[in-house]
Amino acid sequence: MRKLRLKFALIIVPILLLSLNSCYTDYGLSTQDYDIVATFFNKSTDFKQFQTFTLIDSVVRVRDDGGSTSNPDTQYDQQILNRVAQNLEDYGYTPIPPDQVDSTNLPDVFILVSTVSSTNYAYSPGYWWGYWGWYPGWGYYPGYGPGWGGYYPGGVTYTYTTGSLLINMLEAANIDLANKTAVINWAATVNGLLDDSRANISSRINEAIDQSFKQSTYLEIN
Amino acid sequence: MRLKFIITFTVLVSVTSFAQEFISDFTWNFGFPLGKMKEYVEENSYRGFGIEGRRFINKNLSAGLFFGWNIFDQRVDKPIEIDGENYGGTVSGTQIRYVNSFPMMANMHYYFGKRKDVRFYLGANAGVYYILQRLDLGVWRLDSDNWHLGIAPEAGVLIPLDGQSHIIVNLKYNYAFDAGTGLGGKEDNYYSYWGLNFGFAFSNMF
Repeated sequence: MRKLRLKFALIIVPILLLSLNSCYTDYGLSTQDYDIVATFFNKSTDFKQFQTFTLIDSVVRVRDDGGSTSNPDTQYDQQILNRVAQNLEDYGYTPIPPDQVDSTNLPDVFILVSTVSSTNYAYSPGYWWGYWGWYPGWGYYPGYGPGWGGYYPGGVTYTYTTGSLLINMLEAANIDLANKTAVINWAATVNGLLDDSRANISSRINEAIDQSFKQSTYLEIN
Repeated sequence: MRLKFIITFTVLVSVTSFAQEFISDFTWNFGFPLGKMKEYVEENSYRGFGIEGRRFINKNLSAGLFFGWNIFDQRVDKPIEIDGENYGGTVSGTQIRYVNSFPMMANMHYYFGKRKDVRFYLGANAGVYYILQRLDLGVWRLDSDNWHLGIAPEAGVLIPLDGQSHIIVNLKYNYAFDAGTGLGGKEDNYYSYWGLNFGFAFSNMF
């Protein structure tokens, strides 16, 4: 009987452990599910006072180490700028092209668009409790930029690329040219994986930009 | 002298051990979040297990140790609203929320009825919970883990299959007291959930 109990226990415990592993929820996330849209607004801003905007007609590359980017991938730039402009116009803002801006014809707000892309390193321990510790983005923390998460011995290391799109709205009257400072009235950050087909990236960019405005209805001046 | 002591000690321990009933049990644990925990993860957990050993002090009372694991998780698509002092914000994206709870507890159980019959029991568990709260949002991951003191009152039943094997079913109210901070530095970081556990128990006595 004692042997029987031992056998029973030896069967039950692995079954319990395996059932935990196999039952761990697979949410079947697609690349799109990794996209985040974050928007922030200055509470002291009355957006209804703004009527016009100037969208700076180039997308600035920001490198995570503060340096400049050589040979940047510009294939989505015009699409991004067009989509941002379209959303602003849909909310009732009137565009003033950059070449028409001077001291007598200032817009109410400037819109600056920039992008950051990073190659990141992730790690898969390769055993079942890896569900716990493995994830693209493992070891990273929003707001602090990419950094090393650390390694365990063994397992698989791989890279993936993330991209962030930043849209900033600055009130022209509050830009201090002398001290090179400005108050950001509204900011949107779109973050996602860039390891995707060109068509999908293009579609995700449009959806993310639209979402950034959709979740910022206070911008609407119509 | 030393040999004499070792032999005496071994004999005494053996006699004591064999004279007492010992029950070990393995359970599949379900979890049902409550209160503040339910605000973070609403879904019930059907993934968990428990391992326990109980030694009988007398015919109706046992003392033991319990170790368990419950995984709560849920996909949430509702945006996170941020309300700062000078700014407000919204973060949208797919969230996967997790709470992993590991209770490690000492316990006492009082049993009603006779040993070979169906025995209902009441128990009290006290010890610690290691709780890992996790939020996956886009490619980002936020973790908060803390050790909590906790208690778990319990009611259950042992249903004999033969002289030594039983089916065990019990209900526990798990309460992990406030400890450290939750995700985003939130205070008042306590957890509570119902645990419904069932499995097999094995005794060393007929």
